[in-house]
Amino acid sequence: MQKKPQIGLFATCLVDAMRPSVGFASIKLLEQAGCEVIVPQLQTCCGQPAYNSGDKKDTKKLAIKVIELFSEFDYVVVPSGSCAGMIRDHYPLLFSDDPSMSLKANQLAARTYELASFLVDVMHFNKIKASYDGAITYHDSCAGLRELNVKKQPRELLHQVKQAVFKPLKDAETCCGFGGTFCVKYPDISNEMVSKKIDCIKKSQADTLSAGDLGCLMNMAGKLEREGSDVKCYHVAEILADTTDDVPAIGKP
Amino acid sequence: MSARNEILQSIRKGLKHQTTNAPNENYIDNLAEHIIPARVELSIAKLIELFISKAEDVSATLMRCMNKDLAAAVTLYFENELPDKIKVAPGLSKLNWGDLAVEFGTCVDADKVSITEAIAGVAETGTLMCASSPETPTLLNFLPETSIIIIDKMQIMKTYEQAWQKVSQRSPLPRAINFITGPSRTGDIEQQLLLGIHGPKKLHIIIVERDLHDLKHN
Amino acid sequence: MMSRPLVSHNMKVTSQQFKKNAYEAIHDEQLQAALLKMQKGAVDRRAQAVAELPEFQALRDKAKEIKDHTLAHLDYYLEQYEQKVIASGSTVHWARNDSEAKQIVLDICQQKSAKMITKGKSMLTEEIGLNDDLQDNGFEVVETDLGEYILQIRNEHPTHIVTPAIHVNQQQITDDFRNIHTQFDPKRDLSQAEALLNEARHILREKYFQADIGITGANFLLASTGSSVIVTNEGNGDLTQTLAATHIVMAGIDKIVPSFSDVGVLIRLLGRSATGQEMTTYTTISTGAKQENDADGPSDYHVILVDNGRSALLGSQFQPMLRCIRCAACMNHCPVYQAVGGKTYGWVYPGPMGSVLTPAFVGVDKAGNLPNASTFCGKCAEVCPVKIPLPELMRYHRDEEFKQHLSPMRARILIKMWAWLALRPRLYHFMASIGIMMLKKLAGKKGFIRSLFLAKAWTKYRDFPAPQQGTFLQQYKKGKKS
Repeated sequence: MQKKPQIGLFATCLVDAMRPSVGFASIKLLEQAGCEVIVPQLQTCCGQPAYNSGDKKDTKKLAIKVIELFSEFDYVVVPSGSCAGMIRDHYPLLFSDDPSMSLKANQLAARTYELASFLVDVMHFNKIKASYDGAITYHDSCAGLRELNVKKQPRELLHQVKQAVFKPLKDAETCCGFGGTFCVKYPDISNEMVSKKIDCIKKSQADTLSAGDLGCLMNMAGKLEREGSDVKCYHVAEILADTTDDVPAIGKP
Repeated sequence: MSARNEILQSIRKGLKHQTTNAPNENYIDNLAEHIIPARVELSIAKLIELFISKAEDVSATLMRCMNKDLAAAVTLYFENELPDKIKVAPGLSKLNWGDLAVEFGTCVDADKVSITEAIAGVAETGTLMCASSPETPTLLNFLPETSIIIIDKMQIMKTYEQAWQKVSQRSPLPRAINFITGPSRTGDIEQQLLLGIHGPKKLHIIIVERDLHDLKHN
Repeated sequence: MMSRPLVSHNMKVTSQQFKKNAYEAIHDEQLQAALLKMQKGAVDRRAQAVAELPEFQALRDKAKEIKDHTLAHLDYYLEQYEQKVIASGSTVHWARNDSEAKQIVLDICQQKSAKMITKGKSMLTEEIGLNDDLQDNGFEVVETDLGEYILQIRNEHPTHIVTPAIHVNQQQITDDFRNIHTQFDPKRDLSQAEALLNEARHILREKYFQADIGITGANFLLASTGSSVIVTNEGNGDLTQTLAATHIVMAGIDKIVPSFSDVGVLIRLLGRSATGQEMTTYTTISTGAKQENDADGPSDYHVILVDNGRSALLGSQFQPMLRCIRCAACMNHCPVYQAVGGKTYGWVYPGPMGSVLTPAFVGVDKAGNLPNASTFCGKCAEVCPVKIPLPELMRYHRDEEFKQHLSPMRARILIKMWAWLALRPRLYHFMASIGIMMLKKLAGKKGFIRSLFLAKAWTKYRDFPAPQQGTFLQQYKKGKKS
């Protein structure tokens, strides 16, 4: 019998700290797709905060840890476009002048995928068992979209969810204003951006917002909540894994 | 060190070579297009249709006529409200202008209407290519409110590069080669499209059937 | 002849006040209305133009190739260009920096006993602060591009590199015309935009004829023929350069393009990227002064090639920035520019391209805010016709800032602390679980935290979603599998 693909799950620091249910939903989905999932205990952060702050030294140190920790898996799957993009696109660039690390970085990069993209593009998984009674609209997180071409895959999967109705989001590809440290360094501008996003979400008439990145979701959920909106925010993994009944939506009691 | 040499030296330093680094490839004036848009791969008849449609998209007006009917075409364009004077390119002085009040030369500010000829047309975007010369002074294209440009049907090319080939071998190159696509316009007042800010408010293109050159030399 | 001493201005850098500028811009209702209009127009029109040209992406690849090739042989092409210009009977000047460039213009003006100078639109002349200097030295300077003219009479700077007066509305233009154009009947009807257009046409038409010198920039400099190429909709560049007795072309050394077919690729991209037009109204290739028997044209033609920091970018990690063809697609599509407009950036070049160029030219110490005020969403790189990896270049500025300890101390410490902790997984997980516990307590029964004293910047505008019970790794370790 063919051995199941061995997946190293890179949970991401945000999922780990703020919303473990995304991690568990990811495991459930990957197992449904026929994979065996291992969660290396010593994982922390992909290094993006340091990288985007110009601290390449610390980024490299963190990257080396990630590369070592995840070297043994068939694939590394990440419920986040920005963290997957960090490993896939930026780790090789970080070590471009270090041949041995560069090789390892490229090897890891080639095996690393964002969750929805992995399920569709690699596992060709199309047996989503979930049902969701609601109208869902989907935001395209920037890194996933532009670095990893994640666009069709989450939608393809969401359309398999029974009962769910899909509402297109105007300006779905426009940045929500999170940008990691950007939202706290330039709060006024970030607020402008997320306000425009909330307007589009309201106009979509959806009761549920989903996306593939928790940072974006926390940003949008936080704004929706501040405006007194009832729109529920879930990570796409949670809807697809049918775990939305187990946990409150992001920012909801 | 002169500014020139210092700048060139700074460039070489950045590029890491000691002396001028000539390209390996043969990058002489490449007359062929890099990429020909598929939209221009048409029969001549369809190409002219494309030219007309694109020119209309940018608010030019067009007519087609036989060369002998040029004066009649211009008269028709003005619909019985003939201008007091039309400034015409000297190169067109041998043509039959009928009763039109034409004067030959370059434009002055007072000239409201001009007629000149283009060397080539570009079907890709409904563009005309004109060049400065004693026969076709530049200001005819820019000063008057109404600019009429005559183009020989057989000189409507597919692309800018093909049109360029019609003029690039001249030595010296004409002082000004103008690719003209529609009348003058601006969007600087709250992004409203307004015509005729500095150059012509109206551009009228007359596509003439038969070689104008034969005519001029008869 | 002794040249007059140059009184030198440059456009002042106010990028240090970026946050304050941004705040004001966000609360400027009129600006926000203008930005919304611009965004809708520019973005939608470009999208339509791209959809109608299936070869667009192939052209982008080709354009990048052409520009990279040219930059790799920049000295060769500049020398070729210079030879051709000289062969056409004209003069080439070289200026290392803004002062030299301005001195050259001044010298020509004095030589020609000029009094009045008309100008086509040129961001380079903004960069070097040409107008102020010429005016201080006694010359009358008139901008002929309608947007630039409007700014000139308002004493303002461009806030967009293609549509410079994007932030000015029709009422403001009407009021300005009434106040400044006192030669007309004060009670005249200016209610229609057409009336404003005709008035501007009339006034500027006179100026073209009065001008002794016409200065234009260049969108491209064609090496194979020694020509300058300008791309306009108005025709102002053409009248500027044809009617004055002397035509001065001022262009950055990065404007060189090898051949006309290379220009062909770039002009197919430029209009579409900038305004969604397939072709701007006038693309003019000018070579030298008027020839024998030409009935019109300038009698003298000068080119001023300006370096002003460009050659220093060659061979550096910022070299791709020199591919820029100044189309403004990046700023049209940038959600940050769309929120705050061009003035916020505090210098000549706004938006993503400005966020790379400004620190490169004026220093990351002054302009560090610009590359930091980005989410790296990547939309700019997606629309750039010459495929400049703008976010990557902005990150290089952040790298430099960090290396030079220019970023705010607090941010630096927090990042280093975070990284230190993240390199020690067991300690990290321990601290994380405590932090989560505290946040959970703060949230109480609600799902969110309204005010978080360590993250005021977040909670000023948003609620902070409460974490769940325990961290993922904690729960997984305890045996929870799903």
